[in-house]
Amino acid sequence: MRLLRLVLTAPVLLVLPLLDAATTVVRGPYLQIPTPTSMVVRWRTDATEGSVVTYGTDRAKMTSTAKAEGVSTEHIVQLSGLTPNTKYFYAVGAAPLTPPASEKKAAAEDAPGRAAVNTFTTPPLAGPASPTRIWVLGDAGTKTPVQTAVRDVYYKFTGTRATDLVLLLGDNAYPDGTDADYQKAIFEMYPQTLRTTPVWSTLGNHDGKSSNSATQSGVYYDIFTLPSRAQAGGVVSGTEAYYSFDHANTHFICLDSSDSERSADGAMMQWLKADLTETKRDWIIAFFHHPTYTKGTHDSDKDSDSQGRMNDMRAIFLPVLEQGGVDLVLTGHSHVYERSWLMDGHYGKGESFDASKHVKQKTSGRSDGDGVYRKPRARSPHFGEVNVVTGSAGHASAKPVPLNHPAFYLALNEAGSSVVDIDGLKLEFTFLNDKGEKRDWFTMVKQ
Amino acid sequence: MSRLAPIFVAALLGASVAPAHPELEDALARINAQISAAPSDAELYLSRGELYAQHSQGTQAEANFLRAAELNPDLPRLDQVRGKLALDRREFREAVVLLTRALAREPKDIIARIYRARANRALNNHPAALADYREAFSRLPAVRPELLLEYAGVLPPADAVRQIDESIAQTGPVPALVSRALELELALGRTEAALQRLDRIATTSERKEAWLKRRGDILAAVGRTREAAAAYLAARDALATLPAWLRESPETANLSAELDRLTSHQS
Repeated sequence: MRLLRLVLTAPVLLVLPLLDAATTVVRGPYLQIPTPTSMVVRWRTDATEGSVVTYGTDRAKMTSTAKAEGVSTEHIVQLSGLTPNTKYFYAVGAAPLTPPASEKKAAAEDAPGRAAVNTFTTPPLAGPASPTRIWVLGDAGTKTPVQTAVRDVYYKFTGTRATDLVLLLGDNAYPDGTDADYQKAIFEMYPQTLRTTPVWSTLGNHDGKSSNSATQSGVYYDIFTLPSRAQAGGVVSGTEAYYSFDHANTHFICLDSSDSERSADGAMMQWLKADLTETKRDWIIAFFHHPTYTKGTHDSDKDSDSQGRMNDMRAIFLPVLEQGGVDLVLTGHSHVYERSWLMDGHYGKGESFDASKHVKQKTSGRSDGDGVYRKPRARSPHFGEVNVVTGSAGHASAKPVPLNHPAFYLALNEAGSSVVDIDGLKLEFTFLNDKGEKRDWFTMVKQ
Repeated sequence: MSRLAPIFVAALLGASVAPAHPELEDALARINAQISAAPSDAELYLSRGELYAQHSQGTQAEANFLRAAELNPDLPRLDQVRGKLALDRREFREAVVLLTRALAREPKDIIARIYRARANRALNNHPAALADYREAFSRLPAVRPELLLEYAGVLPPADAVRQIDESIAQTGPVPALVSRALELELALGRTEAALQRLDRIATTSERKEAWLKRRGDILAAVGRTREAAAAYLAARDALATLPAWLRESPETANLSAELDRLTSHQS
């Protein structure tokens, strides 16, 4: 965001021939801060040049351009004045591009780099319901065949169904979250997705090795353009470390469990309370790196584990999230899959968990099982949320892990990723393992 | 020192004196293997020290930092990470010494400068803290709220309000900044200024009721009961504009009941 430069949007006055091939797009393009009327497009070239996005709703008539001033290898261009819920075609380069011939359409749309025509769809207006698919990747960036397998399983699962947004739950690029780690683990792993689907991220401890939240500097903050000024909804956080955004009838809250102050009266908490108070959306999904509960490769009952971050998120932040009516809490860090019951009010260690007190609905949450989870539509505190640890998009634990926290309905030491589908007042959750098996699912309905 | 020697040796051998979780154990195993292969590589001891420091094992961290310093006293970042460790252990004077050395080596090190500002703030050396905050801020493209509040906490209240306002103008109405500015205005006895702040927030808020209630509370506290009652009524009106599913929430119902009580009390 701090790299964002002055952006001008204007009709195309000159359509230049295709650019010479002197420079190469070596990263992206990728999409950031989607709003119903704007999109940030980013890419990297191997040599310094201008930053221009040519775009339009008709592939044969991409008549609009947006550009950033100056020249750079890191290109950040904001498109504005877009129409909500509309498919756009776009291409990146140093100057406005002539659209490729129509017979090359299919190949061009899939081709990476400059002169390729890519597409994105702007989010619908915030508030009204609109079917939404979210792909959730926790601790993905191992650059291993397992990460590839997890990715390919999702691609097969979603098929032609577009993904509306991707949530990265931190530790996106191992081992140190360096630029080179990100290049391999994210940009070369998901190029097709990144060109078409906006990505939102939260900071993990491995990302923190190459970044500093206090100064908002380092690789993570350089790579991601995130909304410190509530550009996509919610309340102004003043930082890219934590933020919120709206998509249709869902409000997403990203907290920084890794590197921001987690005290009960700190700036992040004050922001969270204000943000929860402000939102009018039907669904609230919170995501952050360190899990509230886990008995996987980390132990949320051990005070020293992760320097107490899991304790803090459970004991300090979860009560506020529950008071604000959160529906789903997504976390990673522990390289397993663990999914709770519809639950509320448990802020202590595992030994203090009392199902009769803390489980709001002791069912699987499955429509083909013993019943979906039901909540009132009213923004009611303490009607329960489902806590999911989905931190195995890069690998599962190589060693046996306990997986015995009583808050969980199901716990699996399997690699995989999660999918959230929201349609009106129904939320469906799916966990897919790296073998292509649907290993968990549940439905939550608001009435 | 003799009592600590076994611990230092254990740390340098990479043995953890406390049970570690699998990820830390794996990371230690990797770095221990690297150190076995290159026992004179100061950078590896620095890395192992940082790993221990990240997991709150200060004694082991310090032992590794000292070994790194023995091997290469000019190792970049060594004084910064040792200064941070001292800060975390609340050894503020030691932190200032180490961080001053780090800054002498690299004056543009923003992180070392912020750490030294914090150490000086803890030592009540406010002029030194302010100087470091200002220098660090001058090198940052944006100052996040937490840092700005740290800085404001060292300033006199009126100066703090001015500084917070400058930040709000740049970043927008961050709740923590707005809240601190309100507190400071009230502490300075500037009720009108506080009310104007509330009004500005309420204008742009999707949920005005809480801000209007706060306005009423401030007015009631200074004895302006009729205006307070009007603010509470406005808050009740704002509640009435919410969609039914939000009005029906227990929290909203509680606020509504409280506003009813306050308006009847005021009238």
